[in-house]
Amino acid sequence: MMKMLKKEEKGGYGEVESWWRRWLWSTNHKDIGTLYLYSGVWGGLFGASLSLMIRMQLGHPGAVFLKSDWFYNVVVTTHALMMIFFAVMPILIGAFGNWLIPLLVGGKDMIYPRMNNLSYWLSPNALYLLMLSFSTDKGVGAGWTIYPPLSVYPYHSGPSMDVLIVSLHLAGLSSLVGAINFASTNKNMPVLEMKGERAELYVLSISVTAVLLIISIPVLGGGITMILFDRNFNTTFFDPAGGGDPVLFQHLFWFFGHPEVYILILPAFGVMSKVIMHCSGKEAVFGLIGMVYAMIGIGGLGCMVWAHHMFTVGLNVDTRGYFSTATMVIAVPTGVKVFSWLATMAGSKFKMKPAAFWSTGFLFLFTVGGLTGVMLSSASMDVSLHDTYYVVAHFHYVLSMGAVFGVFCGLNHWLPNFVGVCFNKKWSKAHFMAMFFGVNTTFFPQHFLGLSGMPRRYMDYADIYAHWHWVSSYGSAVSFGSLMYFKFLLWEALVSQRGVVFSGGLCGEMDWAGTRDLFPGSKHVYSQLPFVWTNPYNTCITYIYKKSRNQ
Amino acid sequence: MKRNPYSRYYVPGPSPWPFFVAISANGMAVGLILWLHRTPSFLLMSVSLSCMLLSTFSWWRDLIREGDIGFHTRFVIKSFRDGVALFILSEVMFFFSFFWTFFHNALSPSCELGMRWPPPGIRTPNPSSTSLFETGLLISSGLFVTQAHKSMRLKDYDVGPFIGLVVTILCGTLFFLVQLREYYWNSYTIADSVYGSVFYLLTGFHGMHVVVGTLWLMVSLVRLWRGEFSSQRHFGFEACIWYWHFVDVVWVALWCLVYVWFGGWLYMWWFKMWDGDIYTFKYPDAKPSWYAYVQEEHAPSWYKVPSHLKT
Repeated sequence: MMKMLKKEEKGGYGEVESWWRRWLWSTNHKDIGTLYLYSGVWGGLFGASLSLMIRMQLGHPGAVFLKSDWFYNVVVTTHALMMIFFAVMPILIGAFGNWLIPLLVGGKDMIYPRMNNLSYWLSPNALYLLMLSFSTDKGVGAGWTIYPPLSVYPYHSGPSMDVLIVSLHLAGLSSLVGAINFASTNKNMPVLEMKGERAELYVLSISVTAVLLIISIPVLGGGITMILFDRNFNTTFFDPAGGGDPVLFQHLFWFFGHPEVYILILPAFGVMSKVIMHCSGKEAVFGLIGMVYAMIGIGGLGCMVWAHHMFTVGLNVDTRGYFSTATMVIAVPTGVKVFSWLATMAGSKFKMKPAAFWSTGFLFLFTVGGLTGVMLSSASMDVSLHDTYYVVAHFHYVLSMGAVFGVFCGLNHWLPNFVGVCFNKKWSKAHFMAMFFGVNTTFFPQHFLGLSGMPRRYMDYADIYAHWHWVSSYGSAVSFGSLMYFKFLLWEALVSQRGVVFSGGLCGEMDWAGTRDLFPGSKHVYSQLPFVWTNPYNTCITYIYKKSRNQ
Repeated sequence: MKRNPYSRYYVPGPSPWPFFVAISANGMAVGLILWLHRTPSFLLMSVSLSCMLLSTFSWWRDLIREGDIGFHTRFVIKSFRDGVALFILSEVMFFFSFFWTFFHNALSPSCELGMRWPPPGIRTPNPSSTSLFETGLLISSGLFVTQAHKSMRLKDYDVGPFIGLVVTILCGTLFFLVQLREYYWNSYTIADSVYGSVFYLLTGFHGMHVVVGTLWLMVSLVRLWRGEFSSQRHFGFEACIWYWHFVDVVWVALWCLVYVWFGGWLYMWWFKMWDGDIYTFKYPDAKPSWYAYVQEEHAPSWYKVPSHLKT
């Protein structure tokens, strides 16, 4: 029987296939997406544990918990790298992108399935190297920005910095390979009228992200290569003793680093567009063309504003003026997006699913983070706020309440599609409420700390800051508790086995309709070109499953 | 792997190569660190490197076989074109970071360099010497590879593409050897100020790309010999040509900027030829406007302030 099965349906889920062929040698976008999801969740939990260590340390003045300030710096550094490269990017781009892009563009799989697997397998190897750098010697305490001279020989003389650099090389290679795959898939794969301006917003968000990655990742590669050379091969790129300039590294780093923050948030924008459209019961997001060009504009502008991270290094006043202005301009396309989402919700019978909670929470908190970003973009104001907790609060509002809310939103929305089981709705909403309370309690007081001068990346502080730090640490405990609660929800969903009946969306939602009410969808959902129509104004697509002649 | 007439492209079955490439990249990374920290592991490095080479070789072999079977439809080839173009874009951005480093230092040299570029004490290579030869090599190799491509397009499978490719490969190899010789005779090292650092970084990474490009051209030559290309279907060859042109263009930019413009030689040549008169080039004792005569008696008559104008 087994032999017959193998002959009949090779590669199907019913087939008994060796686990390594399926998971290690995979060329299937769904399996690779699942792998990305697992590693991303692991990275996220590790990063969250590190953040809890940071908050436990800062909950009380005096070095009472971690004892060593070096170790505190190592924890901060690893927290940032873990969250950026091994939690948010794998989940938002790797997992959701891999699962959804072929479904949304009507393709069988990603366009380079083997490169997709390479992209995935480089990432746990990079993760291994990051953990090696965390546990070798004394670890890297230079912050994720690894500015020289702190990152060169006299201050990080052990191997851990070198290991971190090669880890970033591998992580960068992984992202680069994945980005080429996504960009080419999104360009070539869509059937019919689903390219360019008519692409679905989620697909477009991944395209812009991929292009940003291709443009920015190699520049980081060059920069960290030069650090490696400065450390080991006697060069003086960032050493004034030989005429080099440490500020150059900051330029190179932020030329990567600023697009990187858009790389983290754009896929979350895509998730929001899908989920808000779905929950509003509409065929398309409001102002589709505006949304498209807002996203492209955010990507383009995102490459031209890097020096707003460097307002205090001694840039001349014209440069600071330019970078302030260009940064403020980004608020315009971002505003277009936020208002278009609101306009999409307006007038609809908004389905208050758990994912809808997360998306509205995203809209609110991301906007808060965006507004503090506008304040920080002012070069003169940034001089006093630079490297304070105000900045920490700002980027956690846009990332841990923007990108991470995007992750939870996507999980709530698509996990039934990926796994075939549903969360408990009421408990999921409770999880949102707990998390919402937790993260706001953690990060809102950090604005006050920053405004009163609390610097970043210090393990201790003057007693005057103790109160808000205590509140913040309390909030982080709540967030962590709600994260554990989410793990319980996941477990509960898996054991309760509430199957998916149907998505409740319109038939243009190919991620749901395309699987023909089979969740998770079969290995390659579209075994042939799907039948897709657009309306005369090209504002939405309609997908219909039609049996082909040869079936 | 199934061929479906209703599908525009194929999905390869499970492949071990990506997994082993990733693992061996990890091994090579750890091997590099061990080597840097004086505990080299020959075993790890050799195992990782051979695993990497075997896996990449087998991966490409699979790809070529799938092409032979006929899986590479026009749609698939179109996606390959985009993939290679994006890969080259990422390479351009990689060199962009090194050129950025170069300009950062060359356009505003720091006080430690005497605020001059090239820094005092560095004898920069003469751009009309070895590097001009290298430029000639790469530009002519670009011409020859185009000739190979054109002959291929014109269905010449016997002579044209072979001559073009062989000459291109010879040019690439010669470039590499000449650059080794240039490195050997250079008066400065990678440790001689940021000039040496950025010079060897740029030329060194470019040289590595020349080596990779030459190897790729050699693979194309072998495939040509085996008759794997036809006048209409030879994307492997075309991608190799794109890559080679990329390497070529980077070198021309590098030569113009690093050797000629910011090597200090342009100014020298200019002021040697220039005699002070923009119309006739007639005044042998003329000097540039910023030139100050240390001793007044050496100055020509027109340089001296007339006595009736002296205050």
